[in-house]
Amino acid sequence: MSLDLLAAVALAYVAFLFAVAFAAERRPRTRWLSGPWVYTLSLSIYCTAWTFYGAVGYAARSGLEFMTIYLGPTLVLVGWWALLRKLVAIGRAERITSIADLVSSRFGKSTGLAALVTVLALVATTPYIALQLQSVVLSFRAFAGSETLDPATEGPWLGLAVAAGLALFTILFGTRRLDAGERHHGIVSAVAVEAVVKLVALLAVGAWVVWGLGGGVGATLDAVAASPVADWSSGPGRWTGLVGVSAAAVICLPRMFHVLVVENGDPRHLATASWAFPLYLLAMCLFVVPVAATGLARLPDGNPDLYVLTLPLSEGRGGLAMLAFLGGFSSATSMVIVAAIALATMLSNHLVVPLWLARPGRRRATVSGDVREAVLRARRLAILAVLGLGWAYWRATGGTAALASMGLIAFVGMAQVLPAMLAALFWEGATRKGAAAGIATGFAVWAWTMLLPVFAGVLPAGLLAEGPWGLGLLAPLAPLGLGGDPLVVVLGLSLGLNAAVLCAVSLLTEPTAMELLQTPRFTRVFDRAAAPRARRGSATAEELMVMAQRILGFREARALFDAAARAQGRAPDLPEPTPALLDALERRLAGSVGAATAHAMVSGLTGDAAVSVEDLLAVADETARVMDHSARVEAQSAELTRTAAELRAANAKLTRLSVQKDAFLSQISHELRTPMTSIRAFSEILLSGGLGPEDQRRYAGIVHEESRRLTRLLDDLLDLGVLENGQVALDLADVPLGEVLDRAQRAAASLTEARLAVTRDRAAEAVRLRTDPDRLAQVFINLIANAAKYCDAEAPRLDIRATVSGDAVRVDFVDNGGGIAEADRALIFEKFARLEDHARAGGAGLGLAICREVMARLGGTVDYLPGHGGAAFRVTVPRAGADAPEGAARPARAPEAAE
Amino acid sequence: MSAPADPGGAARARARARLADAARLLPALGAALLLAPDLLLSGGAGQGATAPWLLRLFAAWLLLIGLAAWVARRHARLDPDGPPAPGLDAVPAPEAARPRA
Repeated sequence: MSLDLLAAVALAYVAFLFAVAFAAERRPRTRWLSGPWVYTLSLSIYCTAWTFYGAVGYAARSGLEFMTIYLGPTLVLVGWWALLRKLVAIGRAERITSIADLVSSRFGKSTGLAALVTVLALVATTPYIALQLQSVVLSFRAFAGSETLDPATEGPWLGLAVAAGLALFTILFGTRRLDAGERHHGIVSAVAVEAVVKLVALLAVGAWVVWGLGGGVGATLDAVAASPVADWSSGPGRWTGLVGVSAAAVICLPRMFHVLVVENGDPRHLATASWAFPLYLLAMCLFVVPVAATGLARLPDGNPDLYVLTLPLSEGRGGLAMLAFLGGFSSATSMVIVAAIALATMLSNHLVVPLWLARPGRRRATVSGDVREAVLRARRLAILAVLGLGWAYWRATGGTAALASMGLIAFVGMAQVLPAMLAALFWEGATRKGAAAGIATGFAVWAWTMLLPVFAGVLPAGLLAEGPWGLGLLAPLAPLGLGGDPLVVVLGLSLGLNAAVLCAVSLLTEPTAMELLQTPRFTRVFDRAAAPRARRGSATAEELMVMAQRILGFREARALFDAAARAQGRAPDLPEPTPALLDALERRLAGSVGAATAHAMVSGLTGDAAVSVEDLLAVADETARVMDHSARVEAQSAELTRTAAELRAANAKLTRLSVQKDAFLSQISHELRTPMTSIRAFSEILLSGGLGPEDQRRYAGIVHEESRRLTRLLDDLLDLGVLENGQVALDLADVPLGEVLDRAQRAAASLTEARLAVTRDRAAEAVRLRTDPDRLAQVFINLIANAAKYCDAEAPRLDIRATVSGDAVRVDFVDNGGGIAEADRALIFEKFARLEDHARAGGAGLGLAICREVMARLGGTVDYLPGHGGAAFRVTVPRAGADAPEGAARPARAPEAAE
Repeated sequence: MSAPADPGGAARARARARLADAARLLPALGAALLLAPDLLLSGGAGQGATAPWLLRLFAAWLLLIGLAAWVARRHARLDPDGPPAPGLDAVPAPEAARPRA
């Protein structure tokens, strides 16, 4: 097969990918494009040329160990509920643009921390990009029949061409928009297509090896058992360490973070990816061992990293080799494209733009300068720089012999972000200084012990093995004199020190105010209420709008501000620059330029920068304290007012009662004195003698009548006393209500001379009661006599109406007089109470007080009924109330006394 | 048989909690299965282990994928609309905000 044909096919394939990307960009809302399958396939950029070609080479060298690279991501994906779910939720809520942005946002939007992670990512990823360029060149060379590689003479221009093509594609589809929160549909679709191509290619080669060359599954397994890789070759801990580091890589590698978190269009896609992506990985590694074993048997002198390509070529299967080439090409290009986007976003947001903004006079320039163009230009330059660096690294190192070792170095490097990231998500006590110190420590250990040995060729002899100045403890190849598996040692040392420093420094330092504000937005992303932070700003809506337009573009900014104005009810005008709007704007800008930069821009514009967050917090604290104090004083004052009002009411009542008592005493003296005077006078007349029998009888009759009046008065007083002390014995009987009323009406008529027309409803009175009829009659007599005495109508009339209500009978006594004034109603049931109309009062004002006590004994009530024109009383008697012993025998105030 | 009544969604909430527990336990099971070869083979018992352990690891892997698929299916049934996206483009009404000092 000629190289020209290969180049033509490769170009045609690239053209096809451009077409796919263009189509997807034109219709980004297509359902399958934004569905879970494209998301899952886009995760396949995890499988780079390292896994496509390198996995077979890895298996040929170390047997089963290559599987760890796939098992780590499997564990992370099936455990999505614990980690990825939270990560994606935070990514969406905070519009995170990269892993550096995530760490920086959580730790107080720190620009320095973001820059540190960016540098780490750049250093760790550049060799990896070089590796992809190398694999493409290697595969070209394999077709040309030579596996030897001399980048200095043969490969550089091919590598440069590949890098330039990838840069063009990435700039074309990766920097169309600024907002990284708006996903790159074109690139993701192209990556998904490439994912299918590399899977099909690897499965095709594998199937051909197993069934075409090997003679079936059983025979292939026998061949594996007989091959040089039949034995387990990993030392203790190495397998676990590799699974762990690849698990860390699938989250921490910038490109993986980008597709997992930033390009995630719907959190539910994670659920599908949780099983579909491990299935994809399983398929990718299904035939790796058979291909390696077959390659070792048939091409013992060949480069194991290229068996996928060279096995079909050596058997004359040009088509299959072409498919394998396209698979490897897809693996390399998709990784480079996404890695370049992720790195360029980090570089522009966390290094270039902050530096640009830091120039004097740039703070206010967020309004006047064209930030949007500047950021996009920075991003395009960053893409070129990243790919250029990769190419330069490849040329400088002359290519690394084994693809796998280079990939592992990048994995361990990026894993240094893992402790800070986990702390960011789960530990509220982690501080910015702790995170920075941890990452820096891990970075340094990794660079010294893992990255440095890559440049063995240009380093002074003996440095790697013996350490600088002969200090054996610092020797990169055996740090601290630790022997054993270098990978396990470096991994444990770098991550262990990283985590230890992170914890120690976090425990020893205080978080800044900004960190305190940011922390719960991350650790409690699922239960947070989106509370806008306190802001104090001087920016007008117009200034904010102008700045937003510069970065988001006119239409985006207009939509954001229109939505805010509608929410505030101010449409079609501009919205008020409320803290909520500033918060939303900052989050939206963060999607374009990163959280730290967005915060700096909005703060710079609103003047927040002049007042530090610490000041704001202090003010807020002070305000909260004052408000708390004021609320307490207010509560106390209200309590006092209430108590005073109660006291006043009680005093007024006491005064009224005292006046009543005085009036009663004077009345009772009068009542006692009047009959006593009569009795004395007439008895003196009788004693003086000389009277006719007629006069004697008349005067004795008067003395008798007056003494009866006295007795009645004293009886009433005694009765009340007995009732109030609860010493009364009830004489219960079954009687019809009507009979009791008859007795009462007769007795009342004999007591008073006044003409009172009584109307009754005999039918309703047929109801039978179990009660003390004498006591009940006493109450009725009192009410009828009162009506006779006090009703001031021309023709006094009393209506007696009985109604049955549940277990009780209500008897209403309504007359047609003037009624009782509202102010007096509360007093009429009191002892000694008698209203002003003394002239008509025949008694001592004890009647209603006695009625109330009697009814309480009978288990009922007597109340005044307002709103009936004349005076109206309602007696409520239980039909079987007297059967209830406690109702009958309990003193009226027992419920209160029991308290 | 008609669907049983679920007042207040209590049964649904319990089912969700059980599913969340299962989802949290899954990676632990995965770690136990996939890290087993390190414990069993690294001590020197790895003679000729590649071919049989290749099959064993694939079997454990498939088991995990199957369980994860089951969890994902249950999740989609219990939470068809997914969680509310927190804070996306939410511009709260002005009364939710404090008056400016």
